[in-house]
Amino acid sequence: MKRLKRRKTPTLSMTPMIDCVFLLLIFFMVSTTFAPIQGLRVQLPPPITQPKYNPIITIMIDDPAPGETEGTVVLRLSDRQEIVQTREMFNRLINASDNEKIMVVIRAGNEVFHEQIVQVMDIAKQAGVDRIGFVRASHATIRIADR
Amino acid sequence: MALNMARRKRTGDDDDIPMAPMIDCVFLLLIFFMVSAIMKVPPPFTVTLPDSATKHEFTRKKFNLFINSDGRISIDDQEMLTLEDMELFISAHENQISTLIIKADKRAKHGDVIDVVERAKMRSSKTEGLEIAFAVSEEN
Repeated sequence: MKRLKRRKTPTLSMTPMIDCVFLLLIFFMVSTTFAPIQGLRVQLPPPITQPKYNPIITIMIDDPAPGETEGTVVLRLSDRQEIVQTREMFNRLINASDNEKIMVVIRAGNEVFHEQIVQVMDIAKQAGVDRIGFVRASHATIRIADR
Repeated sequence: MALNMARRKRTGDDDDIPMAPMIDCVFLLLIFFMVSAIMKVPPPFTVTLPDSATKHEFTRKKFNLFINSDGRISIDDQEMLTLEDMELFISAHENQISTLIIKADKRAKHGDVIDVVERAKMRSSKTEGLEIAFAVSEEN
């Protein structure tokens, strides 16, 4: 009888499990990222619907010459088209977006670097352009001429 | 008091801090972080994102699309060998992709990027359409 009383009740040892849990907790706390991703929103023009945005400005970017990183940029507004530099492009877009909602369609060659596209999009956004779309260089000629 | 003393004597003389509430807390935190964690999965190649002054914030999601300067495509760490593979992958996970974030290298060719955008759009045009965003560098 005496022996039975003295014997301990069996207990689960919690310490190793808690160690594990702590380890996992710290791992997840360290690896979790709450930071949002920075990006630019892209909106492609709907395939057939009539454009609500007036006027539509087309920015055409040529393939860069060998060794160069940027291609020539041509801006087309209604029937006028001209070669523009970055700063001019901003002014043109600001002027156009003054009175109306405008949409910019970017038509760029296949070899144009993504960096230049993002740069052009950036300028357009800064100038207050509401929508930016892309057209494939091959289909573009037909589609834009139709309008 | 007397009872307390008696108990202490019985269990041994080291006075314990009660661990149970702390462990409850830790478990709660653990489960929260496990559920909320979205792992940042690196692509099988390096991608340098372009810079931009205007930025829009998107919540971090799974299934980011990477394009490198040679036109290699991967979704998270899974490399897509053909555009068809990519299309199938996107259509298989369509419900989980609300905004397709395209992380293209600054030296990626526009043709490759547009190929991917077109394919992705084509795939999901049946539903309300897929929103697409180009990721830009987080610096500055």
